[in-house]
Amino acid sequence: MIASIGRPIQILFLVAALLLVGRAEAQADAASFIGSLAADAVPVLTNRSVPEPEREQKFSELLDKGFDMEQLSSMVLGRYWRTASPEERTEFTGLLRSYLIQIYADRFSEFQNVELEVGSTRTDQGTDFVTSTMRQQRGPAVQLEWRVERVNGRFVITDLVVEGVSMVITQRSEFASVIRQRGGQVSGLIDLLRQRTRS
Amino acid sequence: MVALPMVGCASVDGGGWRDSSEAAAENDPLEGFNRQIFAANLAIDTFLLRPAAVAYREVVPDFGKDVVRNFLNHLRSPLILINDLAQGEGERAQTTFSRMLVNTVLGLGGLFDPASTLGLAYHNEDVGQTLATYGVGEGPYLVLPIIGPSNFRDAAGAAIGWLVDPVRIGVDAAGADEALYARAAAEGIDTRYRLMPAYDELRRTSLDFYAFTRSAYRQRREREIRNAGDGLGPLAELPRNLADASAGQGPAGQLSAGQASDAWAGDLPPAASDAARPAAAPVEPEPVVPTTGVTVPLAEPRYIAPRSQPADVVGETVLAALPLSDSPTAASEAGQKDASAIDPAVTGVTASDGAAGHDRRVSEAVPAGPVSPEPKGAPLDVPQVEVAAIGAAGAVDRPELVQAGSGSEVNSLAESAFLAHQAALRSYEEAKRSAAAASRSEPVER
Repeated sequence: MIASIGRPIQILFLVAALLLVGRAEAQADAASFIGSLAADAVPVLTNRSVPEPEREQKFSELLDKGFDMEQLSSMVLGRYWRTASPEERTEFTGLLRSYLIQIYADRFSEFQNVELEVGSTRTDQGTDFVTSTMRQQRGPAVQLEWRVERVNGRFVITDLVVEGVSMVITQRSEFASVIRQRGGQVSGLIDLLRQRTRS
Repeated sequence: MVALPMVGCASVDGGGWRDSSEAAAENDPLEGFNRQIFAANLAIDTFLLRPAAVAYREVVPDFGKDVVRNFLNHLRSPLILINDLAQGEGERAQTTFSRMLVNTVLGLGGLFDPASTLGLAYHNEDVGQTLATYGVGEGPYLVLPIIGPSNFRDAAGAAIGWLVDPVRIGVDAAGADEALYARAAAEGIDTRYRLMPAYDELRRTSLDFYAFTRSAYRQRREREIRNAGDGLGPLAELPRNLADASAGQGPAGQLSAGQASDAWAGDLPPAASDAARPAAAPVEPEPVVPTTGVTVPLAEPRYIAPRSQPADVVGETVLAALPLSDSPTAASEAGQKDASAIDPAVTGVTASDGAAGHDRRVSEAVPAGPVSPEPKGAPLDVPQVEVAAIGAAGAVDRPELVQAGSGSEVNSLAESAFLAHQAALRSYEEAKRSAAAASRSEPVER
């Protein structure tokens, strides 16, 4: 009698436990998304003995998996995105991609033997903020925060904040400055990006 | 808590949304002048500072560089203490004070940093930050000769800091001006050395390094003022719910461009919103429970591990000695930091600073930074040798070189070019704080 009551209760606990676990996993999603991206890319990107084309290839995969180029383009272009023609948008998106691959493949190579530890995740209004710590063999640990959103079931990184500095905001400010110096036209920035990515 | 007057920001308001937002975003009415100084600073960096830093890197062993950094930090601690107190940051003041004692006695006059081993992590404060906590607005962006990125408030802060720095006053009184020059030179060179790869790379790849530096400085500085490790500041201005915006939209993974841009364009005057934002809107932190399993053990002192020296003589000694002498302070200090669920100091500051801090983006871009000071065991004469070497290296340069990466990320506060390294050191403390306070939720502003 007692045993027969105990059984369902056990099962109930089991189910409850599973639900809790499942819930925990769901919450950890953004973090594990970042974790798996990092585990995949960091070893290659931070290994200077890997030839540059290969590192660039890796970073390009990272862009595909972790970001939405069009969205990223609109963010770093800020208000100028609205004034850009569809052709300019398309071209800018392509150039931005090349530019990012080029510069970040280099920037990453400055870090050696880096480990990325994924920390806690905070969710606010559908956006996950994943903190992480990048540890270098030599030198200080660097605090990173990834802003991750789920767009149509897919995780998309919308910003990376390095020690308090948002890459998107900084890049947008830089691009805006270039545009302003070139007559307020997005085409001015596009020209410069074209030169810089030609190499 | 109350709205604080944003002294420096008044002028950027007004006008149409577009123009004003952009002007506000940059907060740089002196751009033409600033760019000239910036260019000059880059030239100085190229021809003097960087070569000196390269020589320093090659000549001085890592151990010696750590000693230099420890000692420079130590010299700075009285001024940091003054600022901690001026900001009403009791806990941080205690930490600084304990560090001074521990490192003076057990760290052989500041050459080593056993205090970090004990959980008394270094943090920096400067007068610019203190002024910010009093509600002084940042004022227009300013590039200072040699020193680099700054603004009216921080430049004034640097001047005040120089005036009240007990170490400077003492050395001055002793008539040992050369020591001040040596200190400034060492500060500049060591900082530049620690920034080296990242800074050089950013400078090389940037399309407009001036604009990059300006933006990064503001973001970085804002974070320092908040004493925050939550990395939240800049995010607040991003449009939320990009996902929502695109919900119900086309095919999977497709975020319509228009949508995204609207989300941006509508909600966000870029980085601008901050400068233009009325000073109020305190940020109320909301602790959030960490959701991930993979939590970093932030509470552990990160700088402990001896890198190469197996026997950490000094560290051992300290650990052995401390409980006898200093334990109440040091231990409770460490305990508090780790334990307190929500650091009241942090919370308080955030709230009251929220207003002031919110409108500035500070910065520093790069993860560059200093090497963690580590206590190392070594024969006593070694440090002295190193110091001598450094003195020599320092002599290569003039004090004016104090700069430190004229630019970018770096920073530079006027006082000297520390920032990067401070930033790095601080990240440890911040990490601890954020671990303690969990994370704070995004400031609600609209």
